[in-house]
Parts: sequence; C-alpha cells; structure tokens
Amino acid sequence: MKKFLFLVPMLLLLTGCLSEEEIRSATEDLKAKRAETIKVIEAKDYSLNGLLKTHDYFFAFAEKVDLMLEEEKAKKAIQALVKELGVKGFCESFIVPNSTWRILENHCSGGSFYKCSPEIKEYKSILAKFKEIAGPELNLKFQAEVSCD
Amino acid sequence: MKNTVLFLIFSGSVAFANQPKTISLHEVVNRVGSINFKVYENALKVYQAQTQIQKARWDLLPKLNLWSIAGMVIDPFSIVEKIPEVAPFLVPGNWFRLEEVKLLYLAEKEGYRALWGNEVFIAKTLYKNVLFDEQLLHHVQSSIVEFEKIHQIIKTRETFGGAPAGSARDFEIKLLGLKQDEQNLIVLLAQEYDEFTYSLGFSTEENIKLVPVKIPEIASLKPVDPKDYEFRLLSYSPERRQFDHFLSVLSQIKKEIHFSFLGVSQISQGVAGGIFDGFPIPNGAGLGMGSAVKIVDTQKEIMKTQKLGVEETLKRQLRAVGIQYNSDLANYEIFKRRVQLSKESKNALIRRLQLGENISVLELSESSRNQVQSETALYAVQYRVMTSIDRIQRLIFEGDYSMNPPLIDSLKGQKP
Repeated sequence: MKKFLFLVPMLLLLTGCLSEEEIRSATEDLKAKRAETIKVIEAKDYSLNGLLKTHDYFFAFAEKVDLMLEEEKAKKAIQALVKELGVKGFCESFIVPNSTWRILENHCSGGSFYKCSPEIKEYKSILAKFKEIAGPELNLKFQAEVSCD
Repeated sequence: MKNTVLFLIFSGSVAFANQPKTISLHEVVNRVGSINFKVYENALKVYQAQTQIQKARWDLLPKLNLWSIAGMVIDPFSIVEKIPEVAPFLVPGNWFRLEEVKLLYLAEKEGYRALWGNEVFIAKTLYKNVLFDEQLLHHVQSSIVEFEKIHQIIKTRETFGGAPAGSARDFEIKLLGLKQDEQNLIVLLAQEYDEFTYSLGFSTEENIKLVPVKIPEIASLKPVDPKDYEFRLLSYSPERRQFDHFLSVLSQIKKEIHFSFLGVSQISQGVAGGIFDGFPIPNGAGLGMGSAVKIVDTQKEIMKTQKLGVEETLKRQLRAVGIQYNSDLANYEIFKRRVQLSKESKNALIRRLQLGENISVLELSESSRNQVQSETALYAVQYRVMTSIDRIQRLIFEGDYSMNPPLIDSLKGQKP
C-alpha cells in the first residue's frame, strides 16, 4: 500500500515535468531560429537562403501555435517558462516583434504579387493567437512589453 | 389537337433539355473543388485526419474494461500494470502521439492542397486545349473552303490547257491532307471534351459549351525572372511543407522512444501516419533504444535529402516555364509578322491565278500551307502563354490557386 501511494504521485510528477520539458526542448530550437531571423532581417538579407532562414522560424512558430490550440497544458507550460525567464526574457528569446516583422513584410509586399510565405503574411494574427492561448493575464503583460509587441 | 399540343410540349422539352449548358473558366475552378472525385476523396481523408485528433485526445482518458476492473478488485496492486488502460494520460507516449496526429493532420491538409491545385490546373489546361483545338478546327475548315475554291480554279484551267496536266490532282492531294487533319481534329476534340467533362463530373448526357477565354495582350506582357518567384515557390509548396511537418513528427517519435520506459502508446497515428508504421518503438528502456533513435535520426536525414530533391525539382519546373514564357513573349512579333507575310504571299498568288497567270501548283499549295502553319503557330503561342501564366500561378499558389480548396473550409467544426 505504501509503495502504491508512492508510485502514483511519482508518475504524476514525471508526466507533469515532461510536458514542460517538451515545450522547453521544442522552443530551444525556436530560439535559434528566431536569432537567425532577426539577423537576416536586420541585415536586409533578402537572398533565397536568407529568406528561407526566416521562413524556418515563422513556419515553426505557426506550427507550434497550431499544436498548442485547445491544449490546457500548453498554457501552463508557457506560463511556467515566462515565470522562469520573465516576460521580456521570454519574448526576446522566442518572439519576433511586429516592428521587426514589418521590415520583412514591406519587402514581401512590394511588387505585383506577395513574395513570401503564408506564415510571414499571417504572423501578426498568429502572434495574437499565441497570446490568447497564453491566457488573459499573460496577454496583458505581453501587450505592455515592447519586445513582445 | 390534343396530340399536336402534346407533341409540341414534348419536342419543346427535348429541345430545352439538349440546350448546351455554358461553363466559364472561373466556374471550372469552383466545380473542381466540389465535384471532382479525387479531390472529394482527399477532402474526406483530411476530415478523417482531423477526427483522429479528437479520438487521440479522448484516448488519453481512462477506458472501461470490465476484465481489468475485475482484476483490480481481486488484486489491487495489479493497478500499476493496468495504468496504460486505466490512466492513459500517465503514459507520456500518448501525449507525443497526440502531437504527431495533429502534425499529420497538417501534413494531410498540405497533400490535399497539392492534389486540388493539380486537378484545377489539369481542368483549366484541358479547357484551354479544347478551345484551342476548336479554334484550330475552325481555321482548318476555313482553309478547306479556300483550298476547294482554288482547286476549282486549277481544274478549270487544266481543262482549257491553262495549267499543266495533273495540276488539279496534285492540288487535290494537298486538299485531302487538310480534310484528314480536319477529321483527326474532330476525333481529338471529342476525346478532350470527354476527358474534360469527366474531370468536372458532368454526365455523358449533358451538352457543355465552353465560354471563350480572352486572349491577353501578349505584346504588353513583361518577361519574368524566375529568381523573383523562388522564395514564394518554395515557402508555399505543399510538397515541401509536408516534409517540414513530417520532420516535426519524427522529433515526437524520438521523444516517444526516449520515454518508452513509461509505456508505449497504442493510439493510432491515423490515415497520414502510414509512412511511420515501420518505426520501432521499444517497449521499455533497453539496449534496443539506441538503435531505435538512430533509425529515426537516419529517417530525418533521408527526409531532409528528399526535401532538397523536391526543392530542386520545383526550381527547375519554375525555370523551365519561365524560359518558355519569356521566349514566347520575345518571339510573339515574329509569329505575327510571319502570319501577315504568309497571308500577303498567298493572296498575291491567288490574285495572279485569277487573272490568268500560269502559277505553279506547288508554289500555290506551299504558300497556302505556310499560311495555315503560321496561323496555327500564332494560336499555339497565345494559348501557350496563357498556360504558362497559369502554370506559374499554380507553382506559387497565386490567382485561382490562392484560395483554400473549398471542402477544407467546411471542415472547420463541421462535416463536409
């Protein structure tokens, strides 16, 4: 009986830790892609290779937001990460601010057709969706922070 | 009187029933999304993949199994080995499997979009081919009428010694060649028409008439640089995007392997998961885990290589259509000039023939053939330019291809 009472909470603890670990490992990759994207946009490197690097970030971000939809544990994991890094730290690690995105968007929209990917085009609404998933409290904090806008 | 009235009503209704139904190029795009058999089948697969997500989510909840419950009543400690049934949410593999199912749904949507794009392109190309061949047939029939007039003139001249013996016969050979072309075109048109109406789900009884398309002002079109379209091409390509989703699935499978010591998921990956069926997920932490991880890593490398292959293929397709399009634009004036000169040359010869001059049959038939060929080439280049524009739009999902395939919108919370 004692063993039983010990095992079940341990299992619960392990599976709880895993969901946060899962979000963390997923976003480590996103961190690296975000850094590359900022570099490309600031250097105005609109070569195919440069743009593909930006596409990697925006695509991965959109995919993760799609996976997070309707998942309560995603909200909790984001909240835990924000608690660890702070709002500013979180956004500076994982979010490309709208002001930076707009530089790229201006290049994409110039011309007779839209030159970039659908995720770049829809980034503003995808970011808004992400903030909604994070919950109303965090959403307000994101809106107040410049690097999260 | 009654019979007359009935006959009039009946013949009127038959005539009305056989009235051709007109269809425009724009209607073709809408119809492919809703009626085409392959598109509908794939839309249902996307719906299946979406429903699979809901199932995977529900499978995280405890299942009712009377034998398990009976076993736990008899031996309470057996609950530990029943955890995958009693508390599937405690098995990490099930959570990773849920993520995989969501990713595979996204991949399935991309596959559907590619298929829909291809079917729309095929239907639009068939539509233009039918119009082109109808125009060609009309042109050949006009040429036959003209050839028959010339043949009469030559026959009369030959009878009165104004043309060498056998001239009319030699010219008739050319005329019959044109009539053979006419018959071949009629057969080709019937086949194209059948293929076109089948792809749009029309029955064989329905009589369909195609609305002519407006030929663009080719002289005012600008050449394209394929490099300008490359990023759009690759980032929108459903074939390439599917690979990105599959690579994400492989990351989840790797996690499943790492956490297999806490149980293996029994949840199905769904319709799109078939390509991952062969992946070994060890049941527990063992010596096989390292090899299982290596298998997944290798598959990642294989898929990255395949993705590169897809990128190169797409770039080559874009380049090929760009070269053809630019060449047609550059040479368009040449095609027009050739038509103008061949018409002038033939008309001049006919005038001389009508005025009694001794014109070589060979020269006359050659001149007529030049005109037919040059006009055919001009029509061909006009339709080829339109098809090239459509091909570029299909590659970058612009224009008619920029909207979502119709049935996907109806999948948002509802059955199609």
